[in-house]
Amino acid sequence: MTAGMASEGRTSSLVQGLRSLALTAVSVPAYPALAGLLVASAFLQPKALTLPFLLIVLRQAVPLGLVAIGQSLTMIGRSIDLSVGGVIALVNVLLAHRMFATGAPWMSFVMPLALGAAVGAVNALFIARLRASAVIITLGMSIVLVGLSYVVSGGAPGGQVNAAVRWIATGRLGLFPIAAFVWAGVALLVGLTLARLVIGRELQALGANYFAARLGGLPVGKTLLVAHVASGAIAGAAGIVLTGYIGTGTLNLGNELVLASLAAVVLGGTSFGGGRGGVLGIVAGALVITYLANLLRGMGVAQPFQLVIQGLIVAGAAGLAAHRSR
Amino acid sequence: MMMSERRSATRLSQSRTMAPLLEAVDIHKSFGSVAALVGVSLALKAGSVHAVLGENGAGKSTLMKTIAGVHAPTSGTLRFKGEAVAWRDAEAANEAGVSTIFQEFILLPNLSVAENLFLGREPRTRLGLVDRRAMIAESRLALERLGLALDPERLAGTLGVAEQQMVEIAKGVMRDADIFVFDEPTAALGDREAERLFALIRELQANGKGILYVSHRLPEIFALCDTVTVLKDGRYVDTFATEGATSDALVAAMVGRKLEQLYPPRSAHAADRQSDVVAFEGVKAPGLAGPVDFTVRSHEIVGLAGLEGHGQIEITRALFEGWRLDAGTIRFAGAPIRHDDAAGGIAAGIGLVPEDRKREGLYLSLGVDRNIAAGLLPGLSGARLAPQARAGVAEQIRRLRIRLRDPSQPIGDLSGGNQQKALLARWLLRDIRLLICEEPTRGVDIGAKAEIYALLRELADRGIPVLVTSRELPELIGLCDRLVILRDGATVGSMPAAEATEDKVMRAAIYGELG
Repeated sequence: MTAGMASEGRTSSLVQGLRSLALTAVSVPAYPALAGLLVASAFLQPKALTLPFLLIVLRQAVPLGLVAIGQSLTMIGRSIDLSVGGVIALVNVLLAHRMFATGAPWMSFVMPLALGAAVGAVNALFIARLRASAVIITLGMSIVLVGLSYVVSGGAPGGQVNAAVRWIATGRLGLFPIAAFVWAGVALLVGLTLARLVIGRELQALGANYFAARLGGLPVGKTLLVAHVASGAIAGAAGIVLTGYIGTGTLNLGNELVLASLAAVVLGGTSFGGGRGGVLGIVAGALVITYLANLLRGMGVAQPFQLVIQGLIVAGAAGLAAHRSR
Repeated sequence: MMMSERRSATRLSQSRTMAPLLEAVDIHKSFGSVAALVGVSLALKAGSVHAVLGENGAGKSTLMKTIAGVHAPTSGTLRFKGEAVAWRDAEAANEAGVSTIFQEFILLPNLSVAENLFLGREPRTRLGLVDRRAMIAESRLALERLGLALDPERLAGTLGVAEQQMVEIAKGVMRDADIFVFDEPTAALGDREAERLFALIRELQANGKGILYVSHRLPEIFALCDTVTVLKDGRYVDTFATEGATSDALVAAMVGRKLEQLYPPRSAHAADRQSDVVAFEGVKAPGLAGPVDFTVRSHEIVGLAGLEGHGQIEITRALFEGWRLDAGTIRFAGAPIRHDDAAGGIAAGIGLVPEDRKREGLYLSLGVDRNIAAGLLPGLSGARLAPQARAGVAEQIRRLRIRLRDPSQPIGDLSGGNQQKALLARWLLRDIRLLICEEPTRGVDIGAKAEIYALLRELADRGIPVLVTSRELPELIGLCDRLVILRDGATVGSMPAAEATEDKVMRAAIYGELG
């Protein structure tokens, strides 16, 4: 009798486990998508399952993954940061500028973070003070930053970047790319902040209900500021890594990361005002997008079609998310 | 005498010959481990308006959704026109003749009224194309038959709640449904819209339809329904004929306790031995023409009474958020208040439960635990570890008897009463010195009401006074120790609630003087 009851308890916990697994799969589309991609590539492109290839994908996913983590912070707070592309573009040409290329290595690390943080602060200030749309403010900011990058580079970028920048982007520790450790570090930091710190709770509350957060005595302005500063600074970090990959200054670097970061966040199960994917989901989202691009390229699919397929997947994920919340 | 005997005789013979239109027998429905319905039975006759009454969470909506084919019962039988049915989904039930008007409407906002009416059954021309003209003409006819002056070409999204409801009804009429299920249809309607709805329902009744009517508004039920089935905690309690039933009997069946126990006894603390916790002295502020003068003493529940929008909310917010005053002083715990935002009010020891719970109080998508623990966040540095307070939250959930599956369940899933309790728990978790409770029981079922009143009284008895606003005067009179009467953003005076009657209070609120 007792044995029967115990086994019943076990089955029901098994059922519950399966149900929560299914729920996670639906609410974080990146997980089933990643699994599906890996299975599909086993048939279509077995080479894509080899360790070297996977490590390349990992390395390539870092800039997108970083930007997406920052982006998710603004999105959880029901804001958005479209200036990340501008930050990366300006960071890139500045890093390729003589001043940083030949200066002390620390300058090449501090400048992007400080620049990104400052941009985020200005974004937040305008959004909070002017009560203006975050979309318009950060889009405008992006245009300003890209413009500045043209001014800095005189329209003809180029040059070399500091060796330390190249090292952090392309170096390896054993098999693993150093950049991946940077990514993991940022993910861990942001993940813990969201899960454990007061500011994380405040950000989620703000995203869930602005009016309730304000009347509930939470510092809504400060919280929004922190989210945007973090997003900007993390975009700055992504700028360092991306610049390190190509090793030189170029025009409008990081442009395509803006929409891709939104896509990675949505795939990762986070939506405007919250969601349940967490940082891990976003990491998976960035991996899905990067892996997919590589797979398609490997199969000889032309770039325009890659974009089409990427777009469809993102639209599908968004549709799934909308369906879930109904 | 003769007449009535004959009438009841024919009625009897009718009920003997005619099987119920719909019969639910011993329906059980569980969601996971939660039993929502435990052996509920109900028989709906043609030409009857049958009320289903119960507190929130009593299982009314689950029962309706089971009848409408949304949920399949875990066990039990559903008989429709004498035959056992097992509907695959809502559409199947709909096809068979059960039309449901839910609390949330399912009209497609981007389609026209006519397109919504004919959704999935559009008339075709010979070419197989949708015959728009026929569709619009027939829609217009159907709407007119119901006495509705609605343009069938309007987009459904531009309709008001009442109009959307009418379109839902028209949809059922056009499909010649036999049963109409209304789930709290008047919740979002004004009085006149509700009257129109009642007229429509009576017409459906006259045409021999069976109507299930879910509501917890007793006057409506008495005005409209002939039979009442009462549910409590997912169980069948009793079925009454409305004729001859009293509201006390219905409430007692619904709550399982008597009505007079709704309000706890007033404070036993002698007023002259209490200190003033709040004092408004000659206050004028935006929206408060003033002067506003009143006090709240340490063991009191004080109600702000008056017509709606005569300064109640301005007073509570000026105190809580520390508004900049045009004149006068607000004292709290002896000293003039110094804070100038909500965070400051909370730091000073004030808690506020806002009148619009969903808009200004709850984080609907977050868990119940997070919503409660949010009361601990104000004043903490953002870089600190967030207080877990798991034990404290669990303690409050247990103490306030908040019904939930799991503390991390989104608070949006809970009933109004449980949401309100969670908001109260938010402040109980924190040490407060004054609670402001705007509309303490708006959208809260009667059982939870009694619990909330008892809780507020307990706070006051412990020396945490409560300042209350309410649109329901009987609630203010029943709950409070003292009423402060407002008129045009100024205080008229105050009276002990024990001596107050609705008439007295309304006179004071309208004429501006205590009688």
